[in-house]
Amino acid sequence: MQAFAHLLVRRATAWTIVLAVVLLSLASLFFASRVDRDDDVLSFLPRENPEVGVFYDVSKRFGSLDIALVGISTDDALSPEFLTRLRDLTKRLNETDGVGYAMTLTNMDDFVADPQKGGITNDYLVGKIPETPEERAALREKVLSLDHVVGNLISADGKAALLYCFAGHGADQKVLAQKVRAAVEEAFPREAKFWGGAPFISTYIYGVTQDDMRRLAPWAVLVIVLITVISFRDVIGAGLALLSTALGIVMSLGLMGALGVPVDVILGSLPVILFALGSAYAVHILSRYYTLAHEHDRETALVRTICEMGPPVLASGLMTVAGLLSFLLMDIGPLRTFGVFAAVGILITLALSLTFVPAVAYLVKLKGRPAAKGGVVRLHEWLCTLPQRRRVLVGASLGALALGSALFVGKIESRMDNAAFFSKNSPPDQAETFLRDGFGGSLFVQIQVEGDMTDPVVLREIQALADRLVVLPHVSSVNHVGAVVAQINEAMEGDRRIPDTAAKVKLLYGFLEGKKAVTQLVTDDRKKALLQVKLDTSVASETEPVLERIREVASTAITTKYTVAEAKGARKDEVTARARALAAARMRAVGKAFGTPMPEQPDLEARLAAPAKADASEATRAALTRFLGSEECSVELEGPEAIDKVARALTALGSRPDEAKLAEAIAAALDKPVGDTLVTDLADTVDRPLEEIWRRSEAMARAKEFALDAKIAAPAGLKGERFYAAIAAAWMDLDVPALALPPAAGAAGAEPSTSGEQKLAVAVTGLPVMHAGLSRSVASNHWKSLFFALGFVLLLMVGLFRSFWSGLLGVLPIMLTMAVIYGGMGLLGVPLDIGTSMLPSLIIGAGVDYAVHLMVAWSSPEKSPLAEAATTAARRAGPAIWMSAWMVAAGFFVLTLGEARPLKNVGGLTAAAMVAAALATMLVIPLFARKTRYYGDGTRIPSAAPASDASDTVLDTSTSPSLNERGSR
Amino acid sequence: MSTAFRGWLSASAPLLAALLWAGHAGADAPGDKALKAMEEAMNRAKTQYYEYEVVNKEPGKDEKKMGLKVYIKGEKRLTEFTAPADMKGTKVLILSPTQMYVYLPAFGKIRRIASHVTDQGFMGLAFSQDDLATQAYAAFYDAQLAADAAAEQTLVATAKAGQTVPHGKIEFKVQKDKNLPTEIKYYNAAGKHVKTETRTTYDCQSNICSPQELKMVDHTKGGHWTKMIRKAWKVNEEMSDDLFSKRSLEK
Repeated sequence: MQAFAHLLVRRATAWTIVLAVVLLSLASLFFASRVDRDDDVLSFLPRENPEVGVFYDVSKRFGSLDIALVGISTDDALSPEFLTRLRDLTKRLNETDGVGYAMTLTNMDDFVADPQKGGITNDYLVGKIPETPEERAALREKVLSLDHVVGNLISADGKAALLYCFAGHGADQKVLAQKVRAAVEEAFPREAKFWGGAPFISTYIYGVTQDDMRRLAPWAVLVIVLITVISFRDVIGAGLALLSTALGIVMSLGLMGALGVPVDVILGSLPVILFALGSAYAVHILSRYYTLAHEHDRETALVRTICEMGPPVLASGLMTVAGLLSFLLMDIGPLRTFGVFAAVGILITLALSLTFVPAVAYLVKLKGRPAAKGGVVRLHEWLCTLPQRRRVLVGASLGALALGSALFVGKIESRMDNAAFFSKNSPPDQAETFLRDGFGGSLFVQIQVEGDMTDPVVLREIQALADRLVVLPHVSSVNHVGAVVAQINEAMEGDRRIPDTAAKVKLLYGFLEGKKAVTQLVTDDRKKALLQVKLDTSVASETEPVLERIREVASTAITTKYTVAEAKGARKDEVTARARALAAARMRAVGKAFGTPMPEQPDLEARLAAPAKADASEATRAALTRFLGSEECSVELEGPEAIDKVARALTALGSRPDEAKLAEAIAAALDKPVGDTLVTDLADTVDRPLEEIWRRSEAMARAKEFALDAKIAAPAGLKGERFYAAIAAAWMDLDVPALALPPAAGAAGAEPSTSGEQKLAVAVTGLPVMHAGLSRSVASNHWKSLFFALGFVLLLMVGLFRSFWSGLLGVLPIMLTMAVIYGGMGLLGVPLDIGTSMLPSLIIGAGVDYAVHLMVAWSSPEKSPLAEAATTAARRAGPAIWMSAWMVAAGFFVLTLGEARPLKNVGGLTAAAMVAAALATMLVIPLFARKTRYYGDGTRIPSAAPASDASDTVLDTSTSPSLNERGSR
Repeated sequence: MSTAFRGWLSASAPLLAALLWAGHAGADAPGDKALKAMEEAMNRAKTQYYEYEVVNKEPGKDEKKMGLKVYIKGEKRLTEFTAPADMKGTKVLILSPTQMYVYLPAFGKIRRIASHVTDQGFMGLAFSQDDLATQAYAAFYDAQLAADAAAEQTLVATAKAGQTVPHGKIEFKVQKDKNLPTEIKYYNAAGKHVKTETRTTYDCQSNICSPQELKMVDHTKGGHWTKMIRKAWKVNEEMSDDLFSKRSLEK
């Protein structure tokens, strides 16, 4: 250190250092300006964590986090004026680059059966903006009767509409959010708007953090500058200390730019954290130099400063670096990156404080102000000697504090939910409330099912799982590919149910090609599907029990190992029982969707097993008449009379007549020979429709009979019709040709290839699951970081003071500080989250500095009272410790004035921790100290420059002659 | 006013006038005439039969292919899917812009679909039904001749007042020897260029010409494109009206 110190006080060396620093700073400025930003929320997920890993994979696969949601509140979302603006906005967004697809009420596909011409009419749900009161009333009734629209695109009261914006491939979330926001603001300037979905939330979190940093960082720096200037009472010295820290920050950012490391939410706080942590080293060097510069020439003062302060500054800096490097043990990538660059930044500021600061001080002949005198140092002395004077009282008080804190430490929760990321009443919180109140919630549990999604047997299992889930408390809806296939089947076949054959399912998928909303539910290769389970709560204490129920249902409701059993095969009784169970579950789910209470599952199964009483022949005849007279029938019959005759004849045949009887009946009705072209063409045409019409009519008759018997109050109007159609579709599912059953007992041990056994893999994920996994990761990261940092610091302390007990003594104040801070977190209910899990390394990093400097300054002649060593330490190190503590505390406290929840927590707790650490250092070390000197024996100080015991800083205002005399001996 | 400025103004006046006129949406006689000529050249055939391989590429996804047979007679159009296997045998009969019958082999029946949703890409293609079906422009658009070179001219067609059309403006690059478009740029009502269709390598039978490849690029969807590669083409062959009947769909 001496050789290094002597080298530094050469003019050429000093100039070389200054020039090198200037050049490096310029280069760093250039690279720092090239640092990109990264606001990918997924990058914060610890992918090694199994639950988080599944969430990450599923989100990427299905693009679950690529949807921007905008809720618009209004008096009437179905008013012509509102709908016109909504339609124009939707169109505009769909023509905006980066928007994959925008969906609202106005461009939702709607299929309506055409009773006159047959078939369906396909139009937008709001195909024409209503003009008359009648048209408005009709539209309102139609829209509000659709269970898949209400609660998804419009609220049940019709006073809020929701816009879904799917990001285009490779679209930047921030850009998407900006474009959507601009378009919506322009279209709906007066209405209340709510911005939800990952693009808005991540943009909000990033934006609010950056805004806070932009807004608060100058204030934090100003406070630190003021404290430095007031403490030094010298603008040049304060400027130099702060300049060296600022250059360290620029160089760290420059290194990030050169290495192509983008800045994220956490790295965005790096400048403030480096300013707070890194400025202490230059402060220690300069404050010691100022004292010595008034007693010696500047070369001697600098050499002595470096020899005396170099090792402890270096040691405390390395301990801070160790604390930050403990982030490397975490499984969250951005935190590891933060740890590395914060450590590099500290190393740079450390190096600058030991080279650049002395070099500039030498070149500009910095002398500083003489030591000020005042009561502050007396306060430090009083505090530091208090444990000697009131050992029992201080000991008992500190012990009680530690014990009391320990009690509350156990109350800290590592539970995470959205509240960890944004505050109450923040825009995302308001959006969450809006979506919960008007749209059944905004939090989704997702269930990924792996299997052949073109197999109707598999789709029925998914349907079964969804039906069991939707009746759980707090589950407001379940969306899945089976429902979408059923919906398109309604358009093509007439029934809203999963079709019976794979060929039909595959064909229907063809019509769903390119539909963005479908890609959220099934992969392009149809091998994986996702059930989106919407919860009406986002409070962790409510979501966790629901999640458990969902997991339970997911593990039992679906047949994960199955064979396909034919309804007419050897296991027909099992198929019938299973079909009844599935149909009953379907009916209960329909009841929930329509707000109609239904009987319990066993009761429903019993009703489904009962023989039919209702006669469907009249309904069949009427439906056949409509079909034969429609444009959908490819054979035209002459006049209503012929149609009626044929309809009656066909109805009399039942649902599945053989070909010959069919032709004979038609021939008889038309009074034509069996071989007539019209007869054969018609027989060919009506074959399938006849079966379908019979089936549909019977199911509808049974649905109405069931509602009557079970005293079910069906909704009125269009909604009631849809309710009966849904119950009828469930009834039709009793006749499915095949279902999935667990492998038969004899086939259990057989090879899957011979037993026909197939598998469905089910994984429950979604934000609540991810939060739970993240909570575990955060807790694990926290403890790993804490023990590593503490262990490493203890090792360095033992090395520095060359004694295990002395090293342990140096660590004790940090331990007490952490107990108090964690106790406070437990008391105030501050959770352990990504931000607060960074606390141990920050507290250790900054807090250890105080212990090192107090113990290095702890010095008195052999056999003198320990109070004398305490007084010396308080006078020499106290002011610098408190100055540093207030600087760091002030820097971090400013962060609590912002909006970013993680920054507020970390800022407030670190600020409190710094003051607590300084206080703990001044009390704990004197309480347990048993030596008159812990560091060195004076041999490191050059003989030409006798060791000085004068105050470490210009704040030293000691006027105690006796102590000064003793100190100078 | 200085002499120099007067000189500049005098020389620039025709250019300024031309620039101002270029921004005007109104039609000119040569433009309308050229648009009508193009439309006439596009619709000369009495019947046409095509076989297409359709390649669809959405950003971030693998290419997908379809096979189509298309029979056209006047306004009627019958399309049969030959690939992929899941869609094979599916037939779509279009008798008018909103009257469509679909035969689904797996369902064994015809479904009548009266579709009013014609402005969106269907089955994931960059072409919308409107793009594929529109063969008449002159009745709906005023055209202006924006450029006229030796081999090619550029027509800018803007919607006539009161007409509801899928695109606010269309810009055609027309190959003069055949009077057929080689590039069609579609603009929305706000004037934003949203899609570009290219029609390349025309070959002709008598005075009827057809491109070997049509490609549509949707600029609002990250460059999503669909290519229709012609594999077979027959012109003016006899096509019975029965072919375009519901009954024939089932056969």
